[in-house]
Amino acid sequence: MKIVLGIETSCDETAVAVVTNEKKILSHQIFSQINTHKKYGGVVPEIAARNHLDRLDTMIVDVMKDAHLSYNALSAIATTTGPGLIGGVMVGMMAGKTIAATYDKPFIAINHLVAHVLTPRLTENIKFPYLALLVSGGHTQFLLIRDIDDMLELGTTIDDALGEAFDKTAKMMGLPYPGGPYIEQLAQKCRDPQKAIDTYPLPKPLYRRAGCDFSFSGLKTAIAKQVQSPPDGDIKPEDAHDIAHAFQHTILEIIKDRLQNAICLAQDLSQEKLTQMVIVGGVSANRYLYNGIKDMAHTHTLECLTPPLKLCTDNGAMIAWAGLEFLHKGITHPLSFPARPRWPLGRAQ
Amino acid sequence: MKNILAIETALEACGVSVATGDQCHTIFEPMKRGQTERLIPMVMEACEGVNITLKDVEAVCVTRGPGSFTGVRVGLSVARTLANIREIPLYGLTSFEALSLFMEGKSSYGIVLESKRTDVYFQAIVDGQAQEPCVTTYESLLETYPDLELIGNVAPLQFDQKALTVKMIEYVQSGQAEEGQISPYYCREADISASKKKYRTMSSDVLDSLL
Repeated sequence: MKIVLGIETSCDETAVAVVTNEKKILSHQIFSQINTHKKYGGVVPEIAARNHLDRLDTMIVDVMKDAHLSYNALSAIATTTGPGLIGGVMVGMMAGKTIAATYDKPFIAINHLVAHVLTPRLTENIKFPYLALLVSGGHTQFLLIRDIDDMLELGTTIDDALGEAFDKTAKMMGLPYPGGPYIEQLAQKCRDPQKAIDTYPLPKPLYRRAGCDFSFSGLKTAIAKQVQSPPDGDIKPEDAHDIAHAFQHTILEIIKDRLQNAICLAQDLSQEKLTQMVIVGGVSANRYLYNGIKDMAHTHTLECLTPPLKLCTDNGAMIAWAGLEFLHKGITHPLSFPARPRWPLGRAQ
Repeated sequence: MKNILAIETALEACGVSVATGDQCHTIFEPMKRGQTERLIPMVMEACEGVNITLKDVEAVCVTRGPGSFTGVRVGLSVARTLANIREIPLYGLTSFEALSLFMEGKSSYGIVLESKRTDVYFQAIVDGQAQEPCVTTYESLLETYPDLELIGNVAPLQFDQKALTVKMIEYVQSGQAEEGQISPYYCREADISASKKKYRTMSSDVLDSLL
């Protein structure tokens, strides 16, 4: 049996997990720093790095104890080495390298994006090639996953990430940070969806254009005009419900349009017929979007899967799992591996 | 005598010493960045230099700042992880305490360290008493302490930085060092520039009524 320790510190979650090649998560811990960053309305990189250092070493010890494992029993140590907030990435990477060096175990440098899109293989039965939609606070991408080391970026956002667009919209409405998840709840209360869409017409950047890139910043500006023009004071409930629905509806329209192009592009670039797609990243928690995307995937005869939410947001198990996949293929990395704040995957031509 | 590892990455360098009873192997490279790539290979090489492996290390000593924020964290992440997983003693020195090791026998001096900004990190030791460390300007500290001998990486009296980790090992060997869970000493809060944009805010009562 292969056992890998995974460490994730690239944003505001300090996370450690131990996973086996039999797809068993022996132990995992996540500490979210969200309460620390809340008062700043977003993640502050220097504060995030400081917090990772404060907690990570004891978390590693706790996870190993909880899994009843000695460090010698590990097959390898995998850590996120980018992309992300570099101060935090370095803390996790150095801890991982230290364990690898001490116990003479392979070190595996994991690209955070690769870990996200491989996670469904930990929880579901998924075979290469497949299409992945990664939607989180930091990323919005379509990727064709042909193998663990052969991924092609089909499209990405040219400005804001989708989760960021949700959070910023929520912020403009006065919702507490991170407000993205509230949008779905508010939209469910919308009494007259058609009226909401008519009252709050929002732009759909790049809609019906070639390719499958995204753009959300125009949408943000439009929302700003809608919510900041009324007089000061709390937003009226009906307005909040309508704006939330109009926003979410527009986002789904954009994603569906981009998805059609992504599926065509992925089919063209894939040697075998595509039968599966996955949605990963924190925004996959939004059921309205998930169901809309799933319906569209089905019309293209694609099975659509997503891992459980705790594995969709940043976590250590996805890093450990990606480590197991690399180890299985014989891919490991030197202890001189650098942290990479930017680490794009290959772009499809 | 214990096998001791000393690490210094806070002061724009990557320095490592490993000592066994009778031998000490030191590797030192000045660098503004790149410690994340060099530190572990250097630690392993230093261990090999005294014919031990990292597993044989029985105590760790590290500088905990002030200095480069990233450098402080790189050294501490390695030192703390090693001490925790091996359950061995960890000793931490502020950068000021570490440099004081070069000033033995002197009772009054000041330590001035690069802050990568227009100011400096400073600590005065006056008649053997260490004053509160601070962030100040060079001009202002010269005004307050015109006659103080100054040592540091931006001071007139430079020090042999390569020897720093050797001094740290000797300090641990002397038995004066105090063991413990070592925290970083940044000497400065994180810079946060709050957004100037005004946003609505919502009370939790209003939020509840909406949901």
